[in-house]
This record gives sequence, C-alpha cells and structure tokens, in this order.
Amino acid sequence: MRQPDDVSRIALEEVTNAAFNGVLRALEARKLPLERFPGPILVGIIAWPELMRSGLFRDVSEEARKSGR
Amino acid sequence: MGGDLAIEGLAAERQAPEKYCPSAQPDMVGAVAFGIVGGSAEHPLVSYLDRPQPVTPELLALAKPVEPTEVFRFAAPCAKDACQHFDGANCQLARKLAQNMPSPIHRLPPCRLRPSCRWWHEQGPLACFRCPLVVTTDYGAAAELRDAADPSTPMRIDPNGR
Repeated sequence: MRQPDDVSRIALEEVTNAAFNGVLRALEARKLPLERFPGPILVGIIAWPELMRSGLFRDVSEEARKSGR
Repeated sequence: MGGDLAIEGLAAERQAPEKYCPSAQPDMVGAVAFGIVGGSAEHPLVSYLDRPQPVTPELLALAKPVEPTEVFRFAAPCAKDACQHFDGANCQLARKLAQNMPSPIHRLPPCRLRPSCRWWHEQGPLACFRCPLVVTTDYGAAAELRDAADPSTPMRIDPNGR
C-alpha cells in the first residue's frame, strides 16, 4: 500500500496502466456507503447555470459530429 | 492619473499568465489532463503526469466505464466569475481546502501545473499538500471535502485571520 507521502510522477508510457488502476479504484469508490448525499459530489469548477453557454465549454457533440465519431 | 493606473493595471493583467483551475472538467476550453487518481477507494491519492496531456477521445476512453473526472484530474483556465467558487478576487474552494482539509503529505507534489495553478498562487503549499486528495467527481468524499466543495458552505472562522 502506498504511503501518504508517496505522491508520485507518472511517465507518459505509464498512463494507460495508471488509468486502468484509477478505473478500478473509482468502481470501488462507487460502492462506498454515502453518508449524506444521494450521489457523488463535484469538487471543482461549478459554473453558474446561466453562464454554461458562455463559451466556457467546448461543444463536444459538434466536435464529434465533425470528426465523424 | 487614475486613467493611467487603470491602463497600467489592464496591461499587467494581460501580461500575467493565465491561472488554471486544477479541478476542471474535460470539456472546458483549454483543458489538459495533469493527474491520475490512484490510492484506494477510501484513501484516493493523485499522481501527477510528467507532461500534462491534451484531452482527446482516446484519453477519455481510458476512463470508461466511469466518468473521466473520477480517474483523471483536469486543469483548464479559471472560469473566474462564471464559477460559483470565485468571490471576485480569489477561489474560495482553494481557500476552504487549504484551511479545512487534513494534509496527507508534507512536501510539494511533483506537479507540472503549479506555475499556472490558481490554488498554488493563492494558497501556496497549503493547497499543494491537500491537492492529491482531490477527486473531481468523488463518491467517497470525506466530510471536510464535501463541505469545501459546496459553494454555499461558509468559511470557518480562522483564529489566525487567514
């Protein structure tokens, strides 16, 4: 088990493996009992709803359409 | 005189590097991935990428079937007044994290975002010591993290006046 001070750096070739471990961790985290809220919390930018269309976000659906995905 | 000062202020603001939010969404304009959440479900701990990566469909696919923000940490230009955590001058999320969260580490993490990170510029090492605990979309967040993440939660009174 990693120690608290063991915050490491990830090289580019390790990203896939680290992301896979991250997915496993996230799936386990979803099983944790929720103390007060019925879902996950968002730690970070919370845009005011009226400003969601102000150019802050990319139009992902439009980009996907253009790239044919 | 006042006009000259205002022009100088604007010029300084234009020259200052843009501050990045270290807990952004991948679909924000200018977003990059700079960390991956490791550790355990109960005790997540972020590791930092040697080189922040652009957000691509291939990168996002690595997080399936969960949300990319459960696996990666993304940074994007600070939304400032468009974000509920911004008080007009500073990021209150960073301030609450720095004041209320326990610190799991006592040395600066090897983070490439730091020179342009708003949390670092405003809270210094106090933010960096706590940053590895932050999962942007968090199912198992500790109570302190939940409080900090809620823009409506008031600041605790700090006897040191910070």
